[in-house]
Amino acid sequence: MVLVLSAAISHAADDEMEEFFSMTPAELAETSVSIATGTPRPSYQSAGSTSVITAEQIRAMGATELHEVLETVPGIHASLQPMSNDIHYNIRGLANQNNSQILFLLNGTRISTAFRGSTESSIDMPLAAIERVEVIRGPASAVYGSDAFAGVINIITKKAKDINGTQLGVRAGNWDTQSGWGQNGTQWAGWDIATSLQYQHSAGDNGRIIKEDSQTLLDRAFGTNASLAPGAMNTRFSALNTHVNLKRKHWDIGFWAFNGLDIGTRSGSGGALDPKGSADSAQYLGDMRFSTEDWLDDWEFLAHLSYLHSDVNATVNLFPDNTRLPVNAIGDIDQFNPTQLTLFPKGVVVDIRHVQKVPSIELTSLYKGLDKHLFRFTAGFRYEELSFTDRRNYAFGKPLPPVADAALVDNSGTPFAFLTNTDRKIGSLLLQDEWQITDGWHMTAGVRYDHYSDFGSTVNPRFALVWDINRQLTSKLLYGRAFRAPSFVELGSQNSPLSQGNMNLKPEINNTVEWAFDYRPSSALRTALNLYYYHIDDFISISPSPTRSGILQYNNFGNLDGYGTEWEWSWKVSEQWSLLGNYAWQNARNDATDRRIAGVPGHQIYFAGIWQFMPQWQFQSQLNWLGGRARDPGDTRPLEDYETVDFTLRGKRLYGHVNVAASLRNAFDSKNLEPAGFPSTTLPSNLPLQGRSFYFEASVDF
Amino acid sequence: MVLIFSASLSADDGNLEYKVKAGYLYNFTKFVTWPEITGATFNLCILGTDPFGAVIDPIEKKSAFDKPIKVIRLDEAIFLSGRDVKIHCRILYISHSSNPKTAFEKLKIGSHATGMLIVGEGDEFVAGGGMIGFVNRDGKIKLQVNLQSVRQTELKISAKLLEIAELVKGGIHD
Repeated sequence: MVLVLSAAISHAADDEMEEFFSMTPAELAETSVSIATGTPRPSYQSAGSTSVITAEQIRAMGATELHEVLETVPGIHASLQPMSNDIHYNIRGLANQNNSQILFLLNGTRISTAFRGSTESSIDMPLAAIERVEVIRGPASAVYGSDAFAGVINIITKKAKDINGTQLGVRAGNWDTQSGWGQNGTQWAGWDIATSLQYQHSAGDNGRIIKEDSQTLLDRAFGTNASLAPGAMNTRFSALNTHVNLKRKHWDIGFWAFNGLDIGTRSGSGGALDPKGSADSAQYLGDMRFSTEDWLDDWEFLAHLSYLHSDVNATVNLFPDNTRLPVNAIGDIDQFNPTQLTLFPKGVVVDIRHVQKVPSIELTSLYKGLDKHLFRFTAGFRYEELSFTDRRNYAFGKPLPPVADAALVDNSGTPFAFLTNTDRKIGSLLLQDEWQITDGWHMTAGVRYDHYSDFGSTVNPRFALVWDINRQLTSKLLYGRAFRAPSFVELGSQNSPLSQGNMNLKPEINNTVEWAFDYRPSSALRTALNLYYYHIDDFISISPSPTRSGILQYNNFGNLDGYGTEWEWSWKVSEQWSLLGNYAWQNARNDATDRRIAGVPGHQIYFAGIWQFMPQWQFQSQLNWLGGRARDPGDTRPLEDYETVDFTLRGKRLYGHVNVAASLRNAFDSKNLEPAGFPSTTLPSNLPLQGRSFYFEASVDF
Repeated sequence: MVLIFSASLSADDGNLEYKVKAGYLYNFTKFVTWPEITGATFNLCILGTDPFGAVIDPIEKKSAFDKPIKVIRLDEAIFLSGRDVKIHCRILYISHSSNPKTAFEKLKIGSHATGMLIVGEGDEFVAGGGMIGFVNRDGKIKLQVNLQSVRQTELKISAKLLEIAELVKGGIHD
């Protein structure tokens, strides 16, 4: 069998060239070939289930924020986090409270932090500076360490050659939404320099009405009239996003600054509408890479230094003015052991700030001296530090008066703070071999060791076998083990009426096997299918505290079995028409409850049609449907299947320099809902998503 | 990044770059219009050390403007001495081994250059006056086009090619 097939491959040289001759210029331009450090493989040969979304595709779909891009990837759904309402990604049927099962990288450098195990930007990244987004579904801890648990999202920014000149652009839409950006790619003193600055602002969609909030329930219980519901979610935000990249032979230096300004509290941090509350978020990343490149024949040495500084400050009203709440002897809100009822004329106010500093170093050597092998050896060290400031007008260790003061008391560093300052050190070693066994067979085997100063060591292997059965068909067999270290919130949070940390948490562990096919019968048609199964041990989830009644706490709550399939296809029907789409089916069940994970879709469909009706003009319509979301027992809040339809018209290089676009998002204004979390602590109704919106955009290249 | 684009060691993939470039060269016959094509064949000439090898040969099974495509490997010394003028190259591919400047100087004098698409490699090629250059952008082969150079000829490049190309200024006369 193998012999027959390899013979078929070798005689196919002419046929193979026929395939290149029949490709269009655009397809040729998208084909990956060799670069200096080795040959990047096309995604169908990569050692994982990967999707790459290019800047061109992002523009065609009309996406303006990252989550709109990721929603089109099979197996990924952009939902909302309970409480913070930050974008919350479900992947392959998995979800937890803090969006921490996906690792986010910016140009290959970790930007997820240990506070919640997720990114800290609080709002989504604008897209003008993004060249492409790479998505790996499935575990990748053998390469990236913790958090690469269910997937990895790597955001690649534009380099000088991608920008190649200057672009200035503006966009405006409804809800007082504006964006402006400038980009420049140039050469100076032997360096390729890319600079990009984008500002984005929105007054927020005032149509996302919360009919009843958690204060509505409290009003009913305690005879008050404090709730601001029905009212609109506070979805305003402003953001400033800056990227600088300097590149020359051996060197790649990057700088990123993200500033989220006056970010609204959405549905409220305590599940009660909070128009007064606001958050500011600042992320700074400095990143330096050096490579010996061609200095040595058989060896290449790489050094990677990075420093991430994250600073998030939120002043919020957990409950609104004139709320009356049961409090206990230390002044904490406690409906199970109350000692009194206290009136809060200025609301229950929390002012918290968390600052994280994450320096990191990685040293890699690549050995190419053995024919058909590429060995990688990496040693890394990372330090994660959190400083936490906690000021509030309740729960600072003594009984409250019947009418609480509005003044905030500084609890920082006391046993009454939500979190205390903490840090940890992580050392890692990675060994990997990529082996081109024969022309058609390629194997990647790797293992990574991580040592955490707070919970010990973990070893995570991966293995991938890629078989090019023929020019059209590739098959892959993949195995990976991943871990996720508990976040600082999951470990140490306390004094919250909502949830408690647990210092005894163990890391959760994911073992995944996957079988994938990629079939390219012609250059116009590509389709890929995979089947996967995973088993998760010690799944970290919120469940009732065994010691304090009514309080939820982070626990290693059961083991999970998940399986599913993802199917993608793209078809260039004619010079003018392209169709593409994907379907994902997924099912993850927790053996502790014998139930599916609540709130995540069981099915997802994406479909897009692109009509290039003139050489410089195209029109894309896309449909995103999801359904089959399970609810927790006793949760009666509706959670219907839903779809969104978007239309985007785009003209490029008009008169050689001008690009224009118009987009209608959620064109049929469908009223879609995302789960709001546990009913006992949060909103009595699920969270509405954005309704119909539109924008116009223009940019000039020169 | 490492995981998605794990470096490959396949001997086969070393040619991938030139397979893509060969794909482009054939595409040029569809997306570029030439003035009247005389002669029995559509000649694709390679000047300098041929980087394509056997990869380009199957193109001879194809035709352009109803004429079979013929690959002609030109000897640099002979070409530059001007003794090759009888060959009408429709596409002239100037390989890395040649000095494009010398070739441009030569072509500037030669009257036969008006119907010749001059293709080469690297960032300097098109800025120095070439018409279409292949450049590697993060592992993908992209096109650079110098419209100034093209306009000095009777060639027309279709929007389909231009829309995926980087437009670059600079010319032989700079």
